[in-house]
Amino acid sequence: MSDEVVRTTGLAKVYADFWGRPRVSALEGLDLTIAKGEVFGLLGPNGSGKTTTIKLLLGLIRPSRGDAFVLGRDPGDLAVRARVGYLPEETYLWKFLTADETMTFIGRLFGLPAAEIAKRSDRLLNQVGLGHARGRRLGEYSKGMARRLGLAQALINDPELVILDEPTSGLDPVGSAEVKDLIIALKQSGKTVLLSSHLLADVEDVCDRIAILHRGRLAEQGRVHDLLADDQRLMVELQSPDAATIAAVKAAAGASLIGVAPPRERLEQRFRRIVAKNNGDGAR
Amino acid sequence: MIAGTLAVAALSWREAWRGRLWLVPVAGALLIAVLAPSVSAADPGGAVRLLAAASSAAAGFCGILMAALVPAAQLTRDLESRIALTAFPKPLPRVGWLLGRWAGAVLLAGAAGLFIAAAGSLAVAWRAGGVPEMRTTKASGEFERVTGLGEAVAVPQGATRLAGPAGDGVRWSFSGLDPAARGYELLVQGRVGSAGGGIVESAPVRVVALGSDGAVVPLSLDPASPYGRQPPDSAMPGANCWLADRNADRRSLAADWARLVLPEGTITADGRLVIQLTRLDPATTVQIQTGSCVVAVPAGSQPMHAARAVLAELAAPAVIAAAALLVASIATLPVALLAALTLAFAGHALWAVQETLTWGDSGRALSRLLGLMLQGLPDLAATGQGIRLAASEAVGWSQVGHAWLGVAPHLVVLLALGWWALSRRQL
Repeated sequence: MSDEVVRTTGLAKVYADFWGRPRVSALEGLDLTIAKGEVFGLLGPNGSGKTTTIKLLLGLIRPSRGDAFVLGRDPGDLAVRARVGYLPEETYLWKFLTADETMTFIGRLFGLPAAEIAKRSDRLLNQVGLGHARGRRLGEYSKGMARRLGLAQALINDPELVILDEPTSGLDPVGSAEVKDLIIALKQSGKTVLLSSHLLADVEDVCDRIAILHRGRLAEQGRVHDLLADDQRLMVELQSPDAATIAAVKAAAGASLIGVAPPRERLEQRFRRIVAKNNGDGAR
Repeated sequence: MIAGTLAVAALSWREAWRGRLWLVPVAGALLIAVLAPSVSAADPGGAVRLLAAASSAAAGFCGILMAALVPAAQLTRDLESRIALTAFPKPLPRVGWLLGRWAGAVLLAGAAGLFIAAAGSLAVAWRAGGVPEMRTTKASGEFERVTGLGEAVAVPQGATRLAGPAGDGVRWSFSGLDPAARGYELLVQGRVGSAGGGIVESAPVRVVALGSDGAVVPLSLDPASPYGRQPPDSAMPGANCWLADRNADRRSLAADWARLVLPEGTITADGRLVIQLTRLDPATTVQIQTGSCVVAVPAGSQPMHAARAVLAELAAPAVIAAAALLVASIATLPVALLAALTLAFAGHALWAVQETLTWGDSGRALSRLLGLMLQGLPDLAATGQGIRLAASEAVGWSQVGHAWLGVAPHLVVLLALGWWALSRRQL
């Protein structure tokens, strides 16, 4: 049980109007467990209850029924909040502040000493690629830059649980890849990550387990590897095969052969390679 | 929580500063600078009094405006632009956020008020030809009438009219004064009339200090006192002061009171002082009351008192800011602004409500409503210090404390309700 970072049992949320009358049921009977060190993906179409789940786990709203525990305690507990980092779906920050000032302000909300804030801010802003723009006001930032700052502020307190709502939204492919690398780095350093995203490829790349929500209910939950495994098919990879080898494989497979074709590079990989190459040329 | 709350207050300050809200106090100061040369009044000190009152009013109005606008705009932006989604998951309780926004607004209103008050003090010093001195006053403990035969008679109603043959007067006894203190002045004023029904501009009197050994020490008029001087072509042997007609509403310590110098030794070792005023002209009448004679103690130059006046007047913006935050927690910006400004105007008009009730010609329902307003709303006009500043009366820390204590119950209730509303707010 001590390895459980998040646990919900029968969690439900019904939004009410100003007078307390039930308006919409956003979540129904969610049972979820996220273990320490896991990267957990929360998937679902719009209105499926992902953001409501996250808000419940952050203590921003109270559940109508059921229980939620984060790091073994009520999500509204201030001690829990001090150990959680959160990146909202959109980057909602103060446009009149610079990146440095934003990090300092957020750090002060966590009660961090000034020297520690400066150290962490310096490291995180460089890590998300904003070292050069730290003195500029957020009003002058592009959406992608603001997103990177949002990510940096979510990590200022060195959180044990990082909740990322659509972290790659607004980022270019390189930025998206860097965020995915960052998530993997967080996992390697022992952090737990709860990731909500529409981009299934992103989730597939980084998540250990996923849960799929549909209309407020848990539709499916399990390890990514297990959920995507296809026992009915087998992939054989060959390095520079000659015609005879290919013919032999075809013959061995017989009627069960579906197709033979060279592997295709993923567009994201190609894009990153081209950008990296041009960056290198530019540097020279 | 305190560090986080202070961080939010600093954020409010920075937000307002970068939103160029500093233009508001600058506009207020410019208004005073423009007014300063053009203000005119019937007597030489009048312009100074007007400027002092005007700068205090400008500082107060600016503070109220900022207290209504700033916190309402900031909190509704936090909630409606969903910045709260970034800020509220942090380990600062929502009450800390609310208090931070409130403290930031009060600090802004205070800073703006101090800036305008500084401009006002400069204008006052320029028109007065120097920095005016402020005074605190000590009232007498005992007040007696003295007949022409020297007999002391108690005045239970606290006021008496001197008329008939000359030589009658009044006696005030003060206690608790510091015998070693320097710069004490005796201030005297009264209502003056004619015994024969004609017009009299002033009445000659003799004001003396009575020593414990029976010694009589005539007091001399301060050369700088514009009131109490001998009129041209008038003479009265033994007179050291000429009282012009002044009622209790004429309260400028600098201009509406005869200022007499208290020489050393007139205050006894145990801090007592006895003053006797004698009417000298049988053609005049003088109406005197307990408070017609006070001992004025130097209390320092005007700017420090103007600053304390701002701190006292800040109590009103503090209440308005709390009300604005409460409404902003549950409603939109226009509603919050409307609520805050309504409270500001209603809180400054309770005297009018009181008068309306006194006339007694309102309907039963309206009377009940007005009665509820009187009971429920804070009296924001009571925190005003402009009249004191104009009258050269010191504004002490007691005035600051009194103003804040007066609004404290409303402040606590409004902030508690704001906390409750914000904690229930769905994000």
